[in-house]
Amino acid sequence: MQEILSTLPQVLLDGLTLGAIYAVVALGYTMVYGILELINFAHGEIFMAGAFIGTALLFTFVDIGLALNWLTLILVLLLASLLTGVLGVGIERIAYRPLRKAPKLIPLISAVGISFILQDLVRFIAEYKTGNYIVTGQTVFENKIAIPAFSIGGYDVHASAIKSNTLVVIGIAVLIMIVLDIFVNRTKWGIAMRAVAQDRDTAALMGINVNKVIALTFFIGSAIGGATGVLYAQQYATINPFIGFILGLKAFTAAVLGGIGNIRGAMFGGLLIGLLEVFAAANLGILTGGALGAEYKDVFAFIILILVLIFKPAGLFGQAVKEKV
Amino acid sequence: MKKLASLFSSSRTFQSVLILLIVLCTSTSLYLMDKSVTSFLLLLFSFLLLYYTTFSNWIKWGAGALIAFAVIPVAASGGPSQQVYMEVAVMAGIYIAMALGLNIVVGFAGLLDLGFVAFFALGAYVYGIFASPQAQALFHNSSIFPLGGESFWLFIIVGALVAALFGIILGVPVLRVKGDYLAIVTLGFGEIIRIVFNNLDKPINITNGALGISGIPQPKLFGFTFTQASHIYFLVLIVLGFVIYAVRRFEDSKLGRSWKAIREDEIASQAMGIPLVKTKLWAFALGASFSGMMGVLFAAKNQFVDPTSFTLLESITILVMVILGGMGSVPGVILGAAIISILNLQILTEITLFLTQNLHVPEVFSPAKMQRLLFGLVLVGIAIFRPQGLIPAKNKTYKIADLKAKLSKKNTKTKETTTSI
Amino acid sequence: MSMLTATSITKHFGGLTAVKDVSINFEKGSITAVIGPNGAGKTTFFNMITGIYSPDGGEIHLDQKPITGLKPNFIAEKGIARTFQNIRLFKEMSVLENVMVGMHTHLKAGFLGTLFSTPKVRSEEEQARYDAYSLLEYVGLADWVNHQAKNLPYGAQRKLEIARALATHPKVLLLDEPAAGMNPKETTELTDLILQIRDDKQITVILIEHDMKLVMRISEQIYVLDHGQLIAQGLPEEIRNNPNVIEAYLGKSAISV
Ligand SMILES: Nc1ncnc2c1ncn2[C@@H]1O[C@H](COP(=O)(O)OP(=O)(O)OP(=O)(O)O)[C@@H](O)[C@H]1O
Ligand SMILES: [Mg+2]
Repeated sequence: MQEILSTLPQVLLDGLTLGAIYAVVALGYTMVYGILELINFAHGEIFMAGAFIGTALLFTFVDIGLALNWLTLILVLLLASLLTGVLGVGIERIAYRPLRKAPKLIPLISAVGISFILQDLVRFIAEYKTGNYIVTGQTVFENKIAIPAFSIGGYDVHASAIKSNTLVVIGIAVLIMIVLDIFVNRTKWGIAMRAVAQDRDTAALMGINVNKVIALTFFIGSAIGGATGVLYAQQYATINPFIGFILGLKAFTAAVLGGIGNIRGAMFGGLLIGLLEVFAAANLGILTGGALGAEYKDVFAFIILILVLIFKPAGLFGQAVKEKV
Repeated sequence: MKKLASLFSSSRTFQSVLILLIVLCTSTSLYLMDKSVTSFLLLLFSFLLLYYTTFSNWIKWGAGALIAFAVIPVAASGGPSQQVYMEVAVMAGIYIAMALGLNIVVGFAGLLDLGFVAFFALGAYVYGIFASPQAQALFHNSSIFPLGGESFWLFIIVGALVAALFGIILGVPVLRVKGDYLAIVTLGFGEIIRIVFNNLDKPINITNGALGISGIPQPKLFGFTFTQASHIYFLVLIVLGFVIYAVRRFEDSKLGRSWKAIREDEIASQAMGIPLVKTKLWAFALGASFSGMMGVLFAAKNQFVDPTSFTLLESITILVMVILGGMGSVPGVILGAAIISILNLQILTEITLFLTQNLHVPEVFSPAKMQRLLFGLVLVGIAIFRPQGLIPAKNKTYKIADLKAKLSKKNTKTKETTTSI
Repeated sequence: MSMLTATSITKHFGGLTAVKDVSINFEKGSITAVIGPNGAGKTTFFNMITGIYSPDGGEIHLDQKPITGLKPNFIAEKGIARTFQNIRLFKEMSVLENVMVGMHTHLKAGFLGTLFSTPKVRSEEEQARYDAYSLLEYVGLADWVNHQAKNLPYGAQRKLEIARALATHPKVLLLDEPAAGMNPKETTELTDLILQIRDDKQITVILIEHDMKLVMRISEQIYVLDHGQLIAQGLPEEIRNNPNVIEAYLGKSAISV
């Protein structure tokens, strides 16, 4: 107990950071699933592509002698989201749109395929440019803010430290979520998106350009996924082409946990999964008396995933929808 | 080209002559030359031609067995690369059997399983642990362990059963979830199994962790040890033959029809009296058991297992085989698995070797590293342009005249039973 | 003697009550129609009987035995078969196979028997094939045996659904808008087929149908649903002149009786 408590501030901070990342990636899954009923396996890879694009841009900036500060970071974020947004739209156009009427298995297979293609393309480019597909990038904010040790109620709490970047990650993630929430609920296009998600045919009859709305959904989902990739690279410095797959899977869990198609739910699910995972990584060893260590944190996350899908497929807040016969 | 195709389908003499010619030429050149990948591939191509001949099934199977059991091993034995060819053939056989197993799950029952390799791993580890000295570490100084190579034959069945059991244990909760969620759940399960095998060296050392288990015995029978790939080859052929036979039996049976019905429409299937979970469980268990069996063979052949053989990429590789060949199509899946495994094991490495050694192309460009790209392209390409795969699945057809004739004969014999429908 | 009874069954979807407190008794060997305007809850009523939805209240009995809330496959096994309003055939399978799937509960082939292809399993399969074929003859689809179900013309698909349902050897057959999309000639054939099914096999037939000519011709009893509630019941002539029914149709929808 003492041990768990003493590291709690650090665990909460790290969990919140990771959770914020999961939450924003989960938004992309939830938006696409809401509108197409498709698990966009490639979304994790779009996130990963964002991380690589951001890293590449920062390297270029350094090369041409630009100073790295918050302005450059914002520039990088915007450019990376633009590119990943376009990437997402392209993927939809090429690999999903022709399959809208196909049996459900087929677009899923196409999605897995795209995900593999992106992994390998990025691996190839990274390896070609740097000789190694594992890349360590430039960090814009490197200083740390220390939180001193203290004790409450007789428990000693260890000192913890926040990278100033952590604040940036959480801040931007929250900003993205707020803006998206307003967009979806208040704007004309956001309402069109919800209409298409609810009933594509009726929406089309009402004069909504369904293809445009779907493309827009992919653009927004992918753009914010890409931006999160940039933040991830800033936070954890080292990236590789395979970070997107597992992270995407966890983000998808988050989306399901919050009720798939439910944007606010996805944010909540992301934070929850992030916190649980970091908590498990820090404390599994303590809780199991050393039998299972941090290497089981992914197993832990997958077990949550499986349990959620089996017992709460409609999410923590949602109601099960029955297929109409 | 068209003319040739029509000539091929119309004349049996032409068919026999062509196949005989190909088999003769390729096997002699394979026998005489040190290394000729082309003739090896062309020899394998004769199977495909055989499939498209119009001979009766008995003749096709007979000729196929002759080529597989006699021509290929003899032809390959002519040069120093004998074991290389046999190695490729063994792996291709293992993959074909696994792809046929996955085809039951994905192709027949329509359940997308992205963690199929987990069952392969189970089979491999079951034999690996109990037949190797690893078992001694596990059961301190027990005199029974290790079981040794004689136990291989038993483990082929044990591997199948253990994998089937896990398929059921996994399936009972998991098969209730919606189709696309199943893909995610199985993917998660595949990763869990791999991570667990990777870390089960503590608290008790069961799998020896990332180091893997070595010293796994080769199969032994009446004092003979199957040491070479060319020995294992015959084992693989026999197991593969059994797998093909079994799949064929189930395809057009009560169970096979229920699988396909569930794939087409779950609600209508239930309304016809088909229990969903039970039927899906059979698909899971049977598919898994093939995979488990092949895992035992794999472990015995390599004498070594470690978690890196059972990654997500492996699962996707098997999926690619099924999708490329044609979901639900047995000949298609065999073709798909043969193409992908030979591509993977031989063609890509050959091209890579050629590029890096002869043309001095930098290593980044080596196609052997680009499996993911290649498989991704296959998946997307097939999904968009040819979802039914290379050889589309065919429904069994019946001669209406036969049905009618037999029916009227039956009707006159036992009037009540048939009219009471 | 009653074959199937629904006792005040109810179904809600969120705030909507699709079926409210409906009680109907279906006599053995009768042909009964359930009619009502679009969205009245007719299909939902069928879905509860066949176990696809379980009712939120009330009970269902088949042959005096309770079947409320059982899974659809058990209900099929107990003797209720159905067709679907939006055709649900096994599209990629052949016509013959579609019917053979309907025989599922009556085939005994087990795992090992299938694997080793025992004589018993083989002869059972053969028998099933003939039975399926003769059912196809019965509904007039004998020429389509080897076609893929999805390639059949619309009217033939509806007939195939009936053949598939008959293959389960039902005591009760539920037909959800069997004549939808059929031309007049096909509808006449269908009418004859339904009568024949009842007469040959003593099957209790319940149908949902918007084609009033067909309904009036073959049903012995008619029940009318509107907004989930039973608003009328009686013989065809009674229903034809019932003011409530006329209002339900003419007042709320454009379909004329
Ligand atoms: N699974 C479901 N989820 C939500 N609402 C449903 C569901 N199934 C049916 N409903 C609603 O219940 C009401 C009754 O539907 P039902 O299909 O039973 O009508 P119906 O009488 O068969 O109409 P029709 O003649 O158009 O077939 C409708 O308002 C419908 O939208
Ligand atoms: Mg209806």
